[in-house]
Amino acid sequence: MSPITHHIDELILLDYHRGRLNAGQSLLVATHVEMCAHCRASLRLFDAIGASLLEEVAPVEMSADALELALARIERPEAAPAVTAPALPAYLRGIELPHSVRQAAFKKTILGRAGRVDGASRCPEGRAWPDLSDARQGRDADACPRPPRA
Amino acid sequence: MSFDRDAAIGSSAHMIVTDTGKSGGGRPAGAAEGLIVRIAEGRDREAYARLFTLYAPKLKAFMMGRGLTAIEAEDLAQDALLNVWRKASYFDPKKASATTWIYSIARNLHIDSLRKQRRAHSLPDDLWAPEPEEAPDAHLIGVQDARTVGALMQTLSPDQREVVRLSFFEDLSHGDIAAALSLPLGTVKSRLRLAMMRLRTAFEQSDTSKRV
Repeated sequence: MSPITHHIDELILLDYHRGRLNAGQSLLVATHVEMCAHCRASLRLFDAIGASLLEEVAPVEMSADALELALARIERPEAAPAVTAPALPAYLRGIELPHSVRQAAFKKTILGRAGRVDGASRCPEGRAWPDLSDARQGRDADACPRPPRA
Repeated sequence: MSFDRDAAIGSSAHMIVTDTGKSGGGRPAGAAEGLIVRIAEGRDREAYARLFTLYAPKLKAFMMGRGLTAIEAEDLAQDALLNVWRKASYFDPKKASATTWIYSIARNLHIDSLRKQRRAHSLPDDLWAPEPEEAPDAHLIGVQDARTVGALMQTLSPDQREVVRLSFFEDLSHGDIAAALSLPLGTVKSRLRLAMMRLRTAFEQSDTSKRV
């Protein structure tokens, strides 16, 4: 892989740190950061800055039964985390993907001007949507035209 | 010889930490770390109660600063500390301070909740999978902690510190900060960049010096 020569603007990284980016931007940043030690170091710095501010902040009193609630919650059995690895679409299988992209769930969703068409639907001709892994290999790329925009 | 050099710089980095331990006041360094270790090793409820009393009110305050209502912030503080209880075994006091670790847990929870609120209208609702179960400190490689950075923050000019504080603590955009300080947006951004650069330089030096 080619070396990283471009870094994410620090102020955008800061927005990422604070969760102020939208999902697409976030995914982009997460993917870069995963491979970029320089930007990871910035994020570690942000965590440390945030933590130092957390230490300084004047506390706000919790409600009267907060501690009681907290102690009750830890006695409850932990629900099994229902983290299922999102299924990768066929055209991405076998490719070494960054962790952040693997965690993004793909659904056969096609965004069009007039909203979205569920991937489970059929081509206008009634055929199934083509497996794009074929297209990657140069075969049958135009098996099914995109749905007409209207 | 590199061994001598590392040892020499390492001790000066250690000095930074000890210094702030004194001037920072509040709690003795290492106390919270010990509580988390007790939770991890012995499921120690008394340690948890103390940790909760120490951190929940601060997390609540911090998250109110980030724009949550008092009720939301209190819920987030509860959830964050519940995660501390559950994930305590992942905590490695050699890698991160208790505050940095807890902060990153709370930050992730906050971002998850922001994501849930936004997904309804701005993006297809299936772009993000649930957050994977990984050690919350996976990204905190290194031993720098809040105390070190707290000391570095003191080396900034008051103007720079204020911009950093507003950027992290208040839920303000750079434009909002510019308006609040009656400064041009460009000035706020360059001041923030400069502050970050200074912190980063000092931070990396302490990071390198402590790496074995």
